Amino acid sequence: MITCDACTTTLLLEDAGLRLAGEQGVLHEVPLICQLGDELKIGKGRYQILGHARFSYGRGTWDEFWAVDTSGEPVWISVDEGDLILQRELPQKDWPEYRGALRLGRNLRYKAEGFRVDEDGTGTCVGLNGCFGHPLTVGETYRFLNLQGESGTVLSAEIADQEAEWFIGRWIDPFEVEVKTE
Amino acid sequence: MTTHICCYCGTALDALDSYKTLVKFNILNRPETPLKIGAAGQIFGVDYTVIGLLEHEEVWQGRSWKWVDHQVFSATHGYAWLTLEEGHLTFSRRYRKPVDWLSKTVVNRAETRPSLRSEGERFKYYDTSTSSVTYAEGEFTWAPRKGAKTTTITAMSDNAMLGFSTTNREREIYHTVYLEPQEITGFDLPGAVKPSGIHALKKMKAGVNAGFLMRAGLGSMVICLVLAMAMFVQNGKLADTRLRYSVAELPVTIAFEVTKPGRLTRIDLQGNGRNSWNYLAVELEDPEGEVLFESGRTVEYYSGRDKDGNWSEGSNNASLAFFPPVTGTYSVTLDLEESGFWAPNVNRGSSPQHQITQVGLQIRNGVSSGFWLILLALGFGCIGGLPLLRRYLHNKARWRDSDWVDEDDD
Repeated sequence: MITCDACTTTLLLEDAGLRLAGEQGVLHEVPLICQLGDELKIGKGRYQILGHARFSYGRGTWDEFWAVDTSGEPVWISVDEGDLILQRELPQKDWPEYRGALRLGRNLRYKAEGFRVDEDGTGTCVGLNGCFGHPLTVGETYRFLNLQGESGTVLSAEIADQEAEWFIGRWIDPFEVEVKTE
Repeated sequence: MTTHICCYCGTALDALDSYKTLVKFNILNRPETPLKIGAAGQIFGVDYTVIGLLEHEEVWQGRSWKWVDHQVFSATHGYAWLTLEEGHLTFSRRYRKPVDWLSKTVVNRAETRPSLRSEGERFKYYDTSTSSVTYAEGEFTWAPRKGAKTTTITAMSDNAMLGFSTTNREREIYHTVYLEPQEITGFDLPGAVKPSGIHALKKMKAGVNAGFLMRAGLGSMVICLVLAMAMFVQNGKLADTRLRYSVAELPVTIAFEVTKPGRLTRIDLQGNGRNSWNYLAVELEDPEGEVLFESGRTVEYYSGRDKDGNWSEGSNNASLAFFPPVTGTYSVTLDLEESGFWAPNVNRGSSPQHQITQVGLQIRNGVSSGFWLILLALGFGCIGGLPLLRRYLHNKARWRDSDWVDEDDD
């Protein structure tokens, strides 16, 4: 999916061509550790930011950056008041298994690590810029879950229209992020 | 941000719920601090603003300590705490790297000081403290409650401290580092806040050449010691003389050949007394028959047994050295001039005492002495050891306030 800065539309790239996907929304300038086009060096990894999405959770917003690493694999870097999480999408076969509903405070085990649901909220997409690995729509509301692991791993779920996607990653120390602006 | 505490009336308002009143702090109790809410500056080159003040009190054995944590916020780097303690500034942030949890139970059960590793750094248990919030003002990511007690367990590495605490059933780890004056600018900080004492997190300010001095000093010391050893093993040539003389023969004059003039020559004397002292007079004549020197050495050896076991003191060996000016036949005259017992009136049945009956003599020409090299090595050792000693003392001061007591220390 890409957005067009000139006419603020978002376009979906499909096999046959482009399909109009919606409005781009407005991304007001706020101080952020990085922005679209930046290259980030985090530890040994390098990430090129290609897309920037902003979600509102009512009293504030958080930002999601869609980036690719040096081997072209996509990652999400979420930025909320200086807290950074770097995650990769989990293939469906690796999704955590659980019974019933995931509520705040619930524990579950995933790959020998204990996790607890620390956040359960909703976010509405308020702005998009750049390109993304999958479609996002301004104005659409997603439910998100954050599960904190005992060993520092962060598991997240993004649920829209009964369809879930799972992500896995870790917290990033903003002092260990080197930003190269293009 | 979830809570706002008004600086005019001290009321805590819920920023998530229409600013509903949560708790009220008495603003008359506002602590004195040079860091005011709203003050902005840079920490490690990142812009931060002070958004809240939190005063803690720790009471232990009837004494109380108070300190102020300043909640600071950066739009790019998030929330952190700035703490001022006796003029020392420290900077704390949430730590989210993989690390084992350090609990009170672990500390209480441990027989040796607990330690843990994170990111290649080793943290050793420092202390456990319980503090309560006595004053809050400004904005916070949680709702401070007056009097709410928090127990924090800390562990320290060479550079940082980790604080483990549980609040609202949530485990939190904070990472604290020391802020040198050049690492923090702005915040309207008064220029001359002179820190007192050594803060546990303060890194030692080693001189720029401390590393070089240490390596050069210790390296030179080793070289001197090796050379001294090499000197000591060069034992010269043993002169062809009788090696033992009965005391009854004394005084006796012994002739010996010197083949290497100008090289150190050593006369080694050995007695066989017990619990006695014996003064041997030594006179040396050169090949011309001229007296080179008159001197003497005492051989004394005492031993016994007391409540601590066997003891001994003194030595039955003595030596004197000289530089022979020419080659030729020298003669040494040996006499037992004076002698005595250590404690003549004591019944020494258990430890016999007798004066020497025999004198051993060895004369070596061309020996080497490593004595001055040993002195030089000591000098170099002091130069190289000074930075090490300073580091040791600094570390000792850093760990001074740790509450860990090794069972052996009791």
